[in-house]
Amino acid sequence: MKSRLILSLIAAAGLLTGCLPSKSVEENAIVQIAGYDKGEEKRIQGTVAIPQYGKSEKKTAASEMYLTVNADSIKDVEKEIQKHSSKPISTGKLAVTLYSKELAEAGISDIIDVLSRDARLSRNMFLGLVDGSAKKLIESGYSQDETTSKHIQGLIENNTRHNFPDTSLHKFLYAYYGHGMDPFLPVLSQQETFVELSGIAFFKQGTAVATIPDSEVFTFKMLKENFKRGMQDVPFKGGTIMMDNIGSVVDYKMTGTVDNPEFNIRIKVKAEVNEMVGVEEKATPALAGEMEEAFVKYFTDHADEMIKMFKENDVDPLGLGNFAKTRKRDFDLDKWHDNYSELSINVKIEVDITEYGIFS
Amino acid sequence: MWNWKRKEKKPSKKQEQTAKKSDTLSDFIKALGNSEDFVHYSLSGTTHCTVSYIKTISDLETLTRHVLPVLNDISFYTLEEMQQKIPVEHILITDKLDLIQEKVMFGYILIQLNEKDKEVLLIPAVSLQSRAVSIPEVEFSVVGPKEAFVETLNTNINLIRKRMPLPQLTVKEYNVGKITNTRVAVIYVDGIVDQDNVETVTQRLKDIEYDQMIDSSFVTQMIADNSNSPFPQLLDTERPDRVVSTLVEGKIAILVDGSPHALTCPTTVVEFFGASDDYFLPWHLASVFRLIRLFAVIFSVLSTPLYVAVLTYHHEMIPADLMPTIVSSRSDIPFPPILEVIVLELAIELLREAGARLPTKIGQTIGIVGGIVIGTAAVDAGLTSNVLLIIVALGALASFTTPVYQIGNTIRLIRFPFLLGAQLWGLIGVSMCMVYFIGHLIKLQSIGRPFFEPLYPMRINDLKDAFIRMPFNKQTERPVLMRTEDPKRMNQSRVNAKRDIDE
Repeated sequence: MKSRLILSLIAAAGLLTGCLPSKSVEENAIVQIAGYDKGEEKRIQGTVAIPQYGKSEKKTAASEMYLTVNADSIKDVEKEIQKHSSKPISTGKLAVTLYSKELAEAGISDIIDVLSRDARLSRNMFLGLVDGSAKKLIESGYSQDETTSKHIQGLIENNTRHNFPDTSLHKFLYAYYGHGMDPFLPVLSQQETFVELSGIAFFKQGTAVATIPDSEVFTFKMLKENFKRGMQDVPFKGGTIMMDNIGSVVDYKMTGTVDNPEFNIRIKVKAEVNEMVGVEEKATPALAGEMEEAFVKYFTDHADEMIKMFKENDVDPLGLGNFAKTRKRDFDLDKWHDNYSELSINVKIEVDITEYGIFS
Repeated sequence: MWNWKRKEKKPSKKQEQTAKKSDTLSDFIKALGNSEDFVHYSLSGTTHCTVSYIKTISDLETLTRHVLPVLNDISFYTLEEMQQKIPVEHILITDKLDLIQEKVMFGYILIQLNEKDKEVLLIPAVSLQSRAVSIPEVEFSVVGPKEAFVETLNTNINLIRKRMPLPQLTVKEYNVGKITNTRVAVIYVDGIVDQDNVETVTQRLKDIEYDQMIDSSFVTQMIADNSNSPFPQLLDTERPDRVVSTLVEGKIAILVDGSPHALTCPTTVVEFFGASDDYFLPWHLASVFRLIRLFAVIFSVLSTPLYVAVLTYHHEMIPADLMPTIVSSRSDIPFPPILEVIVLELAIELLREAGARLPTKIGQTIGIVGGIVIGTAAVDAGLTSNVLLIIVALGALASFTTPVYQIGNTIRLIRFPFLLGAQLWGLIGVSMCMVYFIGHLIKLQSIGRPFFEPLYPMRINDLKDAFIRMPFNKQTERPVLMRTEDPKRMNQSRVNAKRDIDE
């Protein structure tokens, strides 16, 4: 009796729940990149690229199908795209989402909210801003054997290993929802035949408020996280020298009271110099010492300027507020925001040139 | 409505003895007289007596060389005289009908002074036809002993005894099977084995109610703790060396006359993945090969269910670089992944069955025809995808890596419930099946000892010879599982003593 009951329960479980509609992978339209632009009259223009895999096993030119729709909301974009597609849309493999700068400057809080709620989306997805039109960026092919999504995904992933700070949907949401820190996103811009990462945009509550150009990104990454690669050119004695970072360590220290805190940011950089252009001197240990001084001055100036810019725009991408909150018991976020523009932040940089190459 | 549940239990008829038993000696001889190969005649020379034997199983040379000349030379009047004069060992005089029946059927020569006499003389003249001891074919190993059991019980016991000349090696014999009366031997080392285990085995053997006992696998199924389990709960092996090493560990071996496989018990699930090769190789190599085998088994069971689950429900799990390969190879196929997998799995099972039933030479051809011709044709015809073909072929290959054939069959079968789960609920279904099977394994017992032993219950000591094989000097104790009377294999202090200075 008991076993029969259990058996019928198992059978019921199988028969009643086993009717999940399912589609095999090739019967889905797998969206890998999506871009959002500002449409007419407060509407959103969404563009997606769906890779088209050939029937033959030969992987020749990668082809993609581009769909652009106008919709009222992000979910509406999905609905509208469904209308254009012969296969059900699957967003699980979405790897890159791009927003036009225009849209971001008007605020993308609603869009971010959708991303954070959809369990199908990967937290490793890259977000980015487009200087110009996201539609145009997606629709111009860049490489014969790569799809646009793969190209842009590779572009961001490769650069976060060098000069660009680490970025992903997870990091963005962490900074977005965290108290006392603000998110940032890489900015992509389309040149004639290629896309390049042209800087970083800083957000305040889902609105892009400031950007830094490509040349400042190294300094920002140095302030933000420890890293082991990356290059920066620095003017030196009428020429330029190229610094090759081989290990940079950053350390935040907080002193003072809650109401009047003082931050000391210490950065230790180990570097190699392998190229000097327009410098008329021979590379000697003495010259290396001068170079170190030049680097320290350059980075200190730029870091101070950047922090000044953060204060002016009232953004905190370094997460100093969060840092203070985790260390002080009676931290008050409102007070922090009021005092942020007068916060004293000292940046101290040490550069150690370990090598300047072998020459005869 | 519920009538079908309340089936009236009819008192079952007293089961009739299937084989008619003879009541008297003359009935017995009469019954045998129906067979053409039964010889029964009276000697009327110097000695008056009747000689009966079955010529197909009796050794006629004993009769003509040693028995008949003596009977013709001397005139005997009593059986005792015959017993003394006939130059054959172990001649019996008895009037017990059971014993007479058993012995005559076994090939003894029966001699009566008078046909009406109840007391008879039984001269052993057994002629045993058996295959010569040959190379193990199921559990072949490159290094190590190359002997395998044969179908004769005496030869098999001989193979074990000569590897362990120990008076404590005990052999107990029982007759099992109502009609076949098969000899079943229980072998153990007294003083090491736990007597509880011996009791369990003998009791279960005695309780077997069946008419025939053709092979040792009958015993496996009948004395198993859970006869409905797909997992074999007694380990069968054809290698005498493996049997001896398990006996030394404190296990019990069961040999069945007519079967070239010995059973050892109690056993654990990890033992099925250990080959005798593992002990002939250095311990690190052996451990790696064991882990490879374990991985192969997991791969064999899970590869196709995972393929079905991922392609049907979890597209996100396919790496981006693999996506074009999978999608373009699947795009021509008219079936959903589950049908595709079932078609290919069945094709492989067909090949395997066909290969197993055919003679070796044709079997090889079938393998090539099946593997290459059917495989490529199926892909060209758009019935299966290339990716799946590789996965299924690798899965089939991996299932052959188990050293014990019986568990290989289990692995072959249990991937189908996993496939069903994968199709119904995706990865959740696969994990549900996994939970079910692991739960089953945890509950399973072998002769009352836990089958999933070094893992559940956790026995750190027994893990030394489970997934990895520790070197011999680390294995100082016999497995805890057997509860042996003498748990120490050797003296630890003498093993660890350093003898690097010659004194």
